[in-house]
Amino acid sequence: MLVDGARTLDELIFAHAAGRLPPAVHLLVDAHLQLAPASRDLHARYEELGGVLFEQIEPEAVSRDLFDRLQRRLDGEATRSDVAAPHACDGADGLPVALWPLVPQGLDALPWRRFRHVAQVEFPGFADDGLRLGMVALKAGRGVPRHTHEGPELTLVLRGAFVDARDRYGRGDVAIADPSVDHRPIATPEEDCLCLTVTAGAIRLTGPLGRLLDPFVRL
Amino acid sequence: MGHATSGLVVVVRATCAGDPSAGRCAFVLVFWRDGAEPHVTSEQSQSDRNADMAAIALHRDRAAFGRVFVSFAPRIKGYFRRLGADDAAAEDLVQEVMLAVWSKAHQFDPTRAALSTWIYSIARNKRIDMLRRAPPVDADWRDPTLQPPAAPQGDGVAEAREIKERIERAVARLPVEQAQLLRIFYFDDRTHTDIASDLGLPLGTVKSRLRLALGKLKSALEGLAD
Repeated sequence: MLVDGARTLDELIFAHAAGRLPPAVHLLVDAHLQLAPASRDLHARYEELGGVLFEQIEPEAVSRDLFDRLQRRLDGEATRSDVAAPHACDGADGLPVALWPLVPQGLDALPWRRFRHVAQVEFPGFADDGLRLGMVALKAGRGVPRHTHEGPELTLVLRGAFVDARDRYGRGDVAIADPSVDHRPIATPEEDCLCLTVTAGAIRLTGPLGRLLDPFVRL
Repeated sequence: MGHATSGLVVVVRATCAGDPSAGRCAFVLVFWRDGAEPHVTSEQSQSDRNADMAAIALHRDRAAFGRVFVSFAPRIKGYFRRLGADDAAAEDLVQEVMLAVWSKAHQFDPTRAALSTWIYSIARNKRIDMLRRAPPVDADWRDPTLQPPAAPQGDGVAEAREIKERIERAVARLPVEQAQLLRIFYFDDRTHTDIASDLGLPLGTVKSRLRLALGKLKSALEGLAD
């Protein structure tokens, strides 16, 4: 299940704090939290609830030698080098640090598939549970073909902004589309728009060019 | 917490952690159930725990690490056992989580969260990693706590403690079925639909019950400056 029944951002954030999201969605929410302070505060509360419940969890006795085994692993561990912790948004093309492992060589090095004003890339390592994690780049003022989803789709704006029939989404915003939504996201005219997407199920293109584009744009 | 009340209870240690002049003492208790493995738990106050984490971060203090281990290893194991890990896998995961506690101790910030919350979040991230086919993402890369706080902090530690205590009180006051549902959501590997059918309730009832519980939690936190 894509978002475990979550229909709103609040529910997504709760499900993340509770550890209920599949890895691809968990990662998308990680990135959102790094970009959205208000969500971070809410998430901190849900996590604190997790901590309180965790303190009350039924403990299970551990093996007598577990701490000794752990200590031996500490002995073997190299001294921690004082590498500075990564800071938000100060590298990797302005991406939140959660996404840096996806783009070790930067965005340009990814195997983008381009068609007209749209470029798209997938990260197959996250293709669990029938989910696809990818990025979509739209040229300023341009849109993706009109489409509906067989399953839900989550879109996190990483750069720029897009509008659809419902709303405007800027950097850090998450759009939650379910199968009932027939939408055509269009980047705002000021700049190109880059998004992280998680999709479940196939996309049905519904515009006149849909059939032509289908092999290219499996968003 | 459901410990057996029969059997021998022995206070094995009362040690002072951190600044001895502050008089912070950790009492480590060992419970033996008849015929069972020694069952170790502890009563450490939050400030003891914070002092232990500082000692681990600054001085690589193994005694402090041992106290944190005694406090949390059985809970971490309980968490993964409840999620369906077998005994050996759960203990491997305990080691993984505790290694992260050791190596990332400098990242623990008591103005943001209680230690239990921080360790819970590490364990939860391990849970997500278990589901991934790709190599795990180092938690450093996605830890939201790496980000600057949303607002300037006043007396951060006191405020973090206040938040935790309010949540504890709110959870204690919840009707039994709502508290049970929260535990299921955090600790059981089951979907909404499965949870509803296990409880014999319509999905809508499960969701509204959950919303009620979270609503009470939010109102318990109202009026906090942040």
